[in-house]
Amino acid sequence: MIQVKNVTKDFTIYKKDSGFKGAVKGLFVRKKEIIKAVNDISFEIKKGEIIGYIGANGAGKSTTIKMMTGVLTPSSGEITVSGLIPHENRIENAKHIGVVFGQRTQLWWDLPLEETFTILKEIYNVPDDAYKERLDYLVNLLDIQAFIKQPVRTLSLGQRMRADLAAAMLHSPDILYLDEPTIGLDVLVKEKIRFAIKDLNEKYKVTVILTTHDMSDIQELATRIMIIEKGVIIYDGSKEDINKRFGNNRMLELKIENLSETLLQEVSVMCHKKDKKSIVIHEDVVLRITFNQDRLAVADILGFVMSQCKVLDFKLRDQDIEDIAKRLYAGGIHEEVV
Amino acid sequence: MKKWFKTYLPFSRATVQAHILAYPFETFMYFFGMTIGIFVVYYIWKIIYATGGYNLLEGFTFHEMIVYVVLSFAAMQVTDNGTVWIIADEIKSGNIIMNLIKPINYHMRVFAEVGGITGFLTMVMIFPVLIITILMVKIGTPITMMFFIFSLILGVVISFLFDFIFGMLAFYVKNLWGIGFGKYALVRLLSGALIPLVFFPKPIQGVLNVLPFKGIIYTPVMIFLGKYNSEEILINLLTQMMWIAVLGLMNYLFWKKAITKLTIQGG
Ligand SMILES: Nc1ncnc2c1ncn2[C@@H]1O[C@H](COP(=O)(O)OP(=O)(O)O)[C@@H](O)[C@H]1O
Ligand SMILES: [Mg+2]
Repeated sequence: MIQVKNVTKDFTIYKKDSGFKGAVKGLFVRKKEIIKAVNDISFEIKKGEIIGYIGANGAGKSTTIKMMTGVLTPSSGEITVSGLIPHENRIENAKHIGVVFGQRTQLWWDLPLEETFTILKEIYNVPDDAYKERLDYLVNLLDIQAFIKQPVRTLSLGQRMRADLAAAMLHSPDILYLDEPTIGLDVLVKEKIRFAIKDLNEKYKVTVILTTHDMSDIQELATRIMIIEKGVIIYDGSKEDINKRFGNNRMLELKIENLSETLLQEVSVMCHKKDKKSIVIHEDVVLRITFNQDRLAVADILGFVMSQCKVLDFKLRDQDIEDIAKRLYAGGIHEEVV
Repeated sequence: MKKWFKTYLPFSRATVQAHILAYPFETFMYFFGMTIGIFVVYYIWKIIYATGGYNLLEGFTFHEMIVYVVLSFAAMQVTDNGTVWIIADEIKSGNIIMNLIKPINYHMRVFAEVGGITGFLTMVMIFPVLIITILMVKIGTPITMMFFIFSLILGVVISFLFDFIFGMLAFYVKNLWGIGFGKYALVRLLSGALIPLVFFPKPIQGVLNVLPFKGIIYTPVMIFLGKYNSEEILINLLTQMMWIAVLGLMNYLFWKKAITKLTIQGG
């Protein structure tokens, strides 16, 4: 359904030196700098998939989406969406897609929400009966009835976002691009939006490309995850396989009686001998060890610690997407790739 | 054609609706401002004609001059309709993206919006003013009136296409405010909105004849005043159409180039 092949997008920015002198200088000479917002990415998306597209701020998620929607032209590479090249057939492509940008709205600010829906019906040329059915479905699904007669500018962020999602789906598009649709929303609204996305996907086989910083969105919705960092896709696969890719990390938490500096030192040395990247930290009486279980066995750590002191309690946890995302956002997950 | 209307008319309707809902007071004030403006210019010309003791000034009787003033004012209102600022704002804020994700032509959409507002203001304000003026000074025939309206519509399109090109500068220039106002003043002067173009020295008139601005206001108003014979009317209408073709082509080329360069900040 969607093919992206070796796509790169460069932005040229002009750097100015700071201060008054820099500003004056900038009038005559401008330093050019090229940013590779997206750098040689390739992937394919099949009908009915829900892609969780994650990455830190500035990683290139929105740029990718803007190219797939045909708004931006790739600097190089090829994109086809249902057989069309989006930026060359922007209008034709737009008929079959729905887009929500979390930070923007496509609703008419001064008009009652209902009016926006009517206008969209006409723009997308939706037949009367199909429109009625669709609107009923979406109004129910997203719980919109209560505020459908209000001017959009009076809506809360949560209401507006639900309305925006409905607006993007009125013309029954095959593909739904969602760029941070849950940004700034409370848990209940997030729940509603997730449920709606899932329902649309299950009932109508809508293909969804979703960017978010909320890992529970991904956990609940995504059938496949793509991670982009600094314009490069560093992971593309299932939720389950993600651990294999990013090191089979686990975390062991030990509650210890009389935790001493020497003990900490000794455990640390022992762990590093086997896994150079293991991390040993402590908080009060809790010792927290993050390690790669391909290199260091839980039993080894436990055995060693228990031979040195009394362990009151322990907890073992697998690394989840949240942890991966944390490391990702902290910068440089690829350094830890095994 | 019918489908075309169905696609773009909603934009006109929504804009007018939003305008009335959001700015009822402004709409009234606009009318008020226009009336004051007309009166000021009326008195200036009255003084000029009286103190100079003119019957004719560059071929204009006092009454003709008043009609010129009223009509050019009205024409300025319908041709200067904020196109530049709509485009510049959407480019600068990045909200242009919300239009580009829809199956619509961006030019058409903006035109539908400004056209909607223009049509609305014409109906509720400009027509009344026009009719009152015509009844008072008894100038113009149904025929000149018809040609006037046709020519004015061409003027609206010329102005729109020019403003659209100007607005697209926002792709390259961070802040259009300064030159935007400069443009406004210049277009007023060169289109004949301030004074009839015959008041300019001959060489300058020659230059103005080969610029598109004349077709925005001067041409329709002179047609209404009956200053052109049928041959001149034809030439002037053709010139307007030629400018629409030229500006249309420039828009097409510029847009094609600008859109591939389009970078959208934020989001
Ligand atoms: N219009 C633009 N002009 C210049 N640089 C841009 C522009 N848009 C995005 N960028 C740069 O491209 C990179 C990717 O941005 P973006 O795709 O918005 O990231 P994300 O959506 O993942 O936060 C960033 O470094 C950003 O600064
Ligand atoms: Mg983004």
